[in-house]
Amino acid sequence: MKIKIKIITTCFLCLGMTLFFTSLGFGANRLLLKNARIYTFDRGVLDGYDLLIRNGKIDTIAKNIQPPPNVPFIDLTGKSVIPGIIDSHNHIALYGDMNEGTENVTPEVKMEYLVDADEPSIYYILSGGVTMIHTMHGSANPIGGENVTIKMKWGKNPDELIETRALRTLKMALGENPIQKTPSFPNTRMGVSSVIEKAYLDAIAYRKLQDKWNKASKQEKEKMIPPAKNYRLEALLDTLDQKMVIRCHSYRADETLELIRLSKKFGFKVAAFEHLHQAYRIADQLSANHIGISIFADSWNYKAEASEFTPWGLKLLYQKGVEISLNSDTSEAMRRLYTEAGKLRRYAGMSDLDALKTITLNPAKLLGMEKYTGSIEIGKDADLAVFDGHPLSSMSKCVLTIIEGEIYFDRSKDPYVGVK
Amino acid sequence: MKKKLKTQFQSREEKQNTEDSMKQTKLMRYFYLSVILSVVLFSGFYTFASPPERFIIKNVSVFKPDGTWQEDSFVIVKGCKIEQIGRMNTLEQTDIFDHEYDLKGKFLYPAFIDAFYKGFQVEEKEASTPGPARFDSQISRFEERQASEKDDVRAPFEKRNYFIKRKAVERLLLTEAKMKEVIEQGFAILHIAPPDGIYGGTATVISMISENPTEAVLVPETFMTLYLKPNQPDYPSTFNAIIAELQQLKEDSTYYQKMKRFDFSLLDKRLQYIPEYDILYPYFTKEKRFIISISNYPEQRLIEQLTRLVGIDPILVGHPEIWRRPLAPNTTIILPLNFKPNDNSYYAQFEEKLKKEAEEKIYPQKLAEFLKSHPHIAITSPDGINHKDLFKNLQLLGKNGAPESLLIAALTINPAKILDIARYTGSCEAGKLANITVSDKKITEPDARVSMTVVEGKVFEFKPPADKDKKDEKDKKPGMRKKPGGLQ
Repeated sequence: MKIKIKIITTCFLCLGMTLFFTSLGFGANRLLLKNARIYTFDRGVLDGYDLLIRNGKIDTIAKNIQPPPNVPFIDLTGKSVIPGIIDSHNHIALYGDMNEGTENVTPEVKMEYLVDADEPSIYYILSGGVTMIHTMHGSANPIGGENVTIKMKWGKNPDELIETRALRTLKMALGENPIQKTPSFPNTRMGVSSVIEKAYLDAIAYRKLQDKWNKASKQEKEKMIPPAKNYRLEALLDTLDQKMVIRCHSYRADETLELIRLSKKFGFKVAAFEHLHQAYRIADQLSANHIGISIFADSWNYKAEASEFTPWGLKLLYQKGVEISLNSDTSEAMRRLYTEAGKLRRYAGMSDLDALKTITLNPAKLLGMEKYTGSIEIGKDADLAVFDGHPLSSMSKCVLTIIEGEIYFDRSKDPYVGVK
Repeated sequence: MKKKLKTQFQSREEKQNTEDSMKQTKLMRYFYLSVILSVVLFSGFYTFASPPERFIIKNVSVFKPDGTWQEDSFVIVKGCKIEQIGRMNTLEQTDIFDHEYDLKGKFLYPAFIDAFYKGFQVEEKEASTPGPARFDSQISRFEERQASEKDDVRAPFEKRNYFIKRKAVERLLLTEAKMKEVIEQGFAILHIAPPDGIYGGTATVISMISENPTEAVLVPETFMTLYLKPNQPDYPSTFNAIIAELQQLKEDSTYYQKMKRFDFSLLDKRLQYIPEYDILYPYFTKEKRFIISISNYPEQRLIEQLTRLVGIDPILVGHPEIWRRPLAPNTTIILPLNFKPNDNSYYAQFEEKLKKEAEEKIYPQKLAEFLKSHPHIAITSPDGINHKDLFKNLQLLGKNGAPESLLIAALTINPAKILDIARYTGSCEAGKLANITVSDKKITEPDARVSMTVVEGKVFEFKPPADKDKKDEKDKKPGMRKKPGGLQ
């Protein structure tokens, strides 16, 4: 009995000691942001509040938090803190070529292998408050490769950048791009949808062969030829099993509806359409099927199929309840994604917070990351961007970019400030 | 009667036959005897006429296998092998040699081995043309496909830069002038890898003994070379597609190995049997090894992905930034010694200053540290062809703290171990091949020059550079120099 009591008391002592030391600040990475204007989605805009980060997560949001000993704090009076900006469609930080356009169906190709954490464009976009991006395969073929979601931890080991909690997404492409690049089949929009249809029919036939082999008894197996493993068709089967969702590049309403029909026929899920300029024409169908869009705010007419567009259409989509997320497609536009969101105040008649959601919470939802990031809530990742003025104004600049509690961009320490 | 006649007739025939056969056997016996006698006589005569050449190199410091120097020593070479190594005071004075080389104050190493050399091969026009011609070739291929009316079938391997059947042994082209250049730098053995292709083909090991490829080849086939080069017109045009296809090739080749008992015509129509599967199979089961060449730091990560997904154990041909990513301790590395940061690298991005600093300071320091933590590395020339810059870079490494014994091992015994020829060569020991290099200074010191190379007992001596250079130097007096810039 005595020994048991001794063990229990030592255990309690150890627990108490660890609690004491952690409260002092040992063994926990902490950072305190003081006296800031914090944009939360559940509690509204909080003026003059403090935010404590602990172990890369948001720990407390309250007024007048006493800075604990050994914890660094930053005074942010007059500055506003927003959730880190998320870009849901671009092609940066990929080492080498991102378009495997040589064949029509290449879902076995994974962008995860190519992540390049050293690329300077990562630093450029950190200066615009971007903390997470969805970097994608190109649109040269109807079924492209598997995309990857990464956090902008510049200079770290590429494995640390890759966000494994995010949804697996597969790129598809409709319209001009898959038609024009390869001289071979398909040459029309009809051809593109038939390529996708044929690929899925192949995948289903492959599954039937596998099932037949799995169900066969030992005696039957000796006479049968087992099916050969095919990574390409297995990637397509992953989309049928809902292990992977589709992000589809498209511009026109007609081909978009055709893909929705195909998704219902085969049972794969389309998470969002990229660039869909004619989305306002089919807002009802999009909201009924719970499909989001990833779109430019007011950029159009750069090619034939992109000619029909109106920024006022976004208002219609907003009223119908379609999940809108803004995208950049380039590192240059990504630096000022917050001004793009500002445009939605005018065109779509959104409030500040709703406009802010289109570059934070909505893209997080489309990537399946809304539990972990995309807004300032207790328990979520401390992915934050600090602006020196109103976060949607073209007059303000990003001052600090924090990813999981670690500062990756600080304008006061930037070596190129003032260099012309 | 008939029977008797028959028997008589038969017996007579038999007699004749036996007599004939006796005659034949006697003749054959004479013939065999004469052949044997002639062989014995000829070999005796040959041995009497030209016994293996025996020479001695005296008064040199010898680099021993344990990485230390043995001063005032001699090396006796008999035929193509080293007979004896010892100190000068133990040398028997009565011994007679065909030649004596007194090289006082010089340093003797085992001859260097280049573990990754791309020269000495027949050039051939490759099927794919990268760059601006890409689209044209794509169209021509499209027309070909239309003609054959096969939409889903991939282009054959060799059109897609997969030279799986290619062997460097069959493409050797050794010329005397180029061989001399190599020997002049102290190299006796080269590991020749095919220069290009996602699968380049198998490499070979050759000795610099002869221009005749059949004599020069030491190991005909070693490793399968892989260059992960994208940007080509057909299917794997990106890195990740190359990885995906290697994964699929492994699956297919193992599948066909298992399915050999079936009739191939019964199998899935998409998967046609290709003889290359049989060649590839042992590489995927780790029976044979791949040798993969990478040119920068992000590609190193791709190789890790490849080894994880395909389950191979490759030999890495490294790059100047290899220290930036931790490697598994068991990886075998061949390092082309080069300090130039790649254009995509962090150090080459921003300013010229940083790039220069990287070239002169950071990279040599980091690579010297890397060498210490990976003592079994092999070092080769920066670009796979020229050895001249190699020694400058070696000196820089030495300045930055890389121990000399490690550097020499990286040029001699380590590559021999990687190429699996360490039993025959790679160090100065009695019984091994007489591959020897002598230099006037230690190779880690500036202006060190190879003065003699022995390749399997064949001696090549090199005189110090002729007086021409000195004359040139005299002409270049400061007063005589033309001012740069012309009209300024």
